[in-house]
Amino acid sequence: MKNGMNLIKTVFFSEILKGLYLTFKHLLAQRVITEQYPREKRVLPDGYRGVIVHLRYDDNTEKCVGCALCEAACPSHCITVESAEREDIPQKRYAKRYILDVTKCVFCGFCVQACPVDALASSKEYEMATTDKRDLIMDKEAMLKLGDQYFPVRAKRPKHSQDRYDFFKTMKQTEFPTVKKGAA
Amino acid sequence: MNKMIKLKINDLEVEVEDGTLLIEAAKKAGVEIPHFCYHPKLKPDANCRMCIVEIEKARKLQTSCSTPVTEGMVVKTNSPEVKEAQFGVMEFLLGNHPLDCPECDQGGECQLQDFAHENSPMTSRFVEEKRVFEKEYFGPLIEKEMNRCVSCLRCVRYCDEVVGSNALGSMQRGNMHEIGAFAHQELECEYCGGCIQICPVGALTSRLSMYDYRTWQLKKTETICNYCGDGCLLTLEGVKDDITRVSSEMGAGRNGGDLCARGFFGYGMINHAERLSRPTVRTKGRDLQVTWDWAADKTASGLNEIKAKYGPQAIGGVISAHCTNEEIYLFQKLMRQTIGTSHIDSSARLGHINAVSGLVKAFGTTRMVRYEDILQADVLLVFAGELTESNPITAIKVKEAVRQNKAKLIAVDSYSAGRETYISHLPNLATHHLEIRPGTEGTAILGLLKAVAEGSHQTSLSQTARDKFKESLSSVSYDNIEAVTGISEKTFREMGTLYAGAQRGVLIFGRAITRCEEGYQNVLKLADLAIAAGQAGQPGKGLLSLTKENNEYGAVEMGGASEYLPGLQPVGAEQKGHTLVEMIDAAARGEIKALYLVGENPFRSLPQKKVEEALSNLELLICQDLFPSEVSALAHIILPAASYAEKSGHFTNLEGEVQKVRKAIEPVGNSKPDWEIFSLLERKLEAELGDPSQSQKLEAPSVDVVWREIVTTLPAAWPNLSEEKIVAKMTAYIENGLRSYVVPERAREKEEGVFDLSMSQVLFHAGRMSTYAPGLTTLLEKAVVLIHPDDAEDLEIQEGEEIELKAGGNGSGVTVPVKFSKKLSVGSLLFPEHFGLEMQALLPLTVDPITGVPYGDRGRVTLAKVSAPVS
Repeated sequence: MKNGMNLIKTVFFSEILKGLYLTFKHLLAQRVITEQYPREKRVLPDGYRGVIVHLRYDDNTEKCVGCALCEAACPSHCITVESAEREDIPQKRYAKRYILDVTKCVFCGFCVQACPVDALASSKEYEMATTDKRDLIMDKEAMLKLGDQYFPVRAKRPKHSQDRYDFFKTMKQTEFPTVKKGAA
Repeated sequence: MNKMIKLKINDLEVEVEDGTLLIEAAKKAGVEIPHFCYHPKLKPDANCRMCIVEIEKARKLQTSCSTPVTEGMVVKTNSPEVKEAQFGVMEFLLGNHPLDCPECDQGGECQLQDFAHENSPMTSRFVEEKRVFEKEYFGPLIEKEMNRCVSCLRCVRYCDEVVGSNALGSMQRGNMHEIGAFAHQELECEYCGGCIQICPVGALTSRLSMYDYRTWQLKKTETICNYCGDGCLLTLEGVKDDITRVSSEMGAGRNGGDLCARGFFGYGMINHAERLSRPTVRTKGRDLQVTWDWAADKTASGLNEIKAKYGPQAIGGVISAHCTNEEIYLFQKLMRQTIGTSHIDSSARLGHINAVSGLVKAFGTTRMVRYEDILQADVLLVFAGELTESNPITAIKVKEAVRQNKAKLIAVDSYSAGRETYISHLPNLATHHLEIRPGTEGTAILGLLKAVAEGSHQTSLSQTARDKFKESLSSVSYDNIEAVTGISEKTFREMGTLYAGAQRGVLIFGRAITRCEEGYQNVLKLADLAIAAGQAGQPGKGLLSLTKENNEYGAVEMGGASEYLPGLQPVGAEQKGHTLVEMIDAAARGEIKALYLVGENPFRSLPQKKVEEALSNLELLICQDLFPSEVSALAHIILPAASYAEKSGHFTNLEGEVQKVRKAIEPVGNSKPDWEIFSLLERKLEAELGDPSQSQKLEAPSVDVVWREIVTTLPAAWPNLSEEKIVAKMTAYIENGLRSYVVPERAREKEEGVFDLSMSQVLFHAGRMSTYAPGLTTLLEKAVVLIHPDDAEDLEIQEGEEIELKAGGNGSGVTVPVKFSKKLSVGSLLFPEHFGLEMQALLPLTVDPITGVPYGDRGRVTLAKVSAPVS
């Protein structure tokens, strides 16, 4: 019985007719479903993972401390971090060089998860088409610029309690004055 | 062998030796107990309370790092009580610890991180704010971040117990506890880096490699240090092809994980920007940077031309003892076999050859004492006042023997005991210090020898031999000796009895013997002394020669000396080639037309004028080196060589231990390892001689092939003689070798305004190479001449002021700043040999008549204040 039905369906092209019915329905309904990119752009869902960007604090300083955990987490080895001591604030670590090779990036967002200071974020930037591949190797400046564009609301810079700091500092100095060689 | 003890840890049966600590027994059972203050190198301190365990029948929880095991002990390391106590400790430790792991250089290899993962309550009950310390530096190279400190005091204890530098201390109490140098002064210590290595957290880190790496990025290679002869195992750690850090695994290698400033901070020369990087051919005053093939062709044709024109004996070669055994072997093979010259030498000529010739003559071997023997000795006789600076790791072994094993240390040198910095100094450590006048070591040995020969101690020496000794010393009187050395008869007799009466006596001698006048004779006298005292030829007894460069042993053993073929086989008298000094003389006379200098710079050991004249006289000068030097300025062909981090091979350290060197990074620039250059040259030379098949072989053979050749063809390359053979050789030596000894008659009087100047090695440098390491130049950047403060007071000189030194009232002088040091004896000056060539011109050069060693380390100078004011 079932085989008989299948044979009849095959002989009379019922599947093709079904498919064509859908086509003709849309053709006659006159509804356009093609998006006219780039004239119109789709609204991206929350959590869309575009190009990775760097963020800043509200006082315009970059968040990144150059710990290279993103580099360690990256499955496609597209991140290179070279950290160093900051020249303006001694003993502070920062990323002297931060290279994101977008050609290698798989947009998995592991780096964003790995970052201990939330300095990285996935932007909604996806229009990276270019005629020169070298444009896709982004440095920190480019990533910060994109970050400013996509994340205008910035986090507050956490502050250590200055009172506490001064308290310990004075306490220490009253006990033992610091003698630096050649200072006297 | 101690009694074995059985105990149970977490239901696991373990059997350990009596006296083992519980934490070590647990480790043996495979149970890890979290700990901070415990370290196998240090005595238990039990201050961190982290290693707490539950022991059956004990009333309270016990610290496993300070509890020795007992029979039938039942221990639990993971019971709820133990965990609760450990959680409590961890909560306290983390109460003040900042959350800066991402920034911390220790992150990834931090014990606090590791143990906190397993043994912390995950939440803290502290609501108070954390303690904040300002970040500080301990001097220029050590960074101190007290917020991270867990107060385990490992650094302080390491500094006291192992290094003996006592530079660190623990200050304040409770919350404000802090590690520091005394009164917050800048640290002036040995900079061995031990505190950085031993810190379980990131409280002490290296400023030199600060923020340059994350621990997981480092590629680690175990190799051997190339600064001094101690042969320390180094782990070179680098990010890509850049060495960023050095460490040494605890307990591994001959050094047991201890390093010195040179080892720990001296890696900067490897990736130095001034390294020679391209083969260069200099024609008509123009430098042409060429390919290796071209350079090798040019070298080979140049050498062949000279060989055809003047014969092979017009070519000479000198190799540095910083090269590996394979390289020295290949080099001597290239010179002796392929070229056919007998003029070959190495930088072992500058002193070590004295020790080899003397010891081989007396004992047949140079391998008698190992570090273990130093540790087990009960009397150490040391003729090396600068031991702690020239060979810091041997010094650590000596320190351990003296401090922990209560050995007697007799130090004979011309330094005085005085302490003003935290750099250890042998006379301060010595139980008996014989402060002799400079340059009178030989006479002091005679004094000891006389005391030993005339003493009444029991030795294995035959009566006839003793009589022989007495007879040969008959013309020597103590009065003469005292007049020369300044040491009384009583002292000599006491020291002689002490040394001869030792169960295990070890004699260590260094630069003052091998690199100073009468070097060879003094080595023989030392050998006589050891034989007469019965301190040779038995296990644990013998002589140890300190070497300045890392592979001086290997250089001689691999045939890098004109009188020795590989395996210490002597060359016949008529075939013996020129030594280094003779080569320079022959070049000046025009007999030698081509010199091949591999890493060796005669400008640093011989008078510059003479060397310059000799080298400019040459038709072909090939310089193969790491850095541009006075030689490369004159050279016709410059071949850039690779440093020790860029090649494989073997180094032989001062105990005679042959150790493997491993390649850590690719050669810097376009340089090549020396052995590759030699085998390339060999093929080119043979190709020119009519074997074209050789030129087709472009691939260099592996260095392992060379090593296999050495091992198979030279079974006697490492004469590790049995005791019987040493005794036999020794007896034969006494039978026909004893000479009569003479004391130089004239005791040198102290003249007004005349000082004894000696060149010496300093702790922070080794040769010229270390002056390219940024870490070491930070510690000591410029040459300063050391002077005793009493002398300075007489001359009204302030510290840092410049003085002018002149030799014997000669016209030209050298101007250097002074630094005060109480470790010198009054009337002497000390100058680090690593800087500047001018100082050498002041010192007279004498050459040893037998071994041909140039001695130019000591001399007498007059001193004058420079009148110009110093800002």
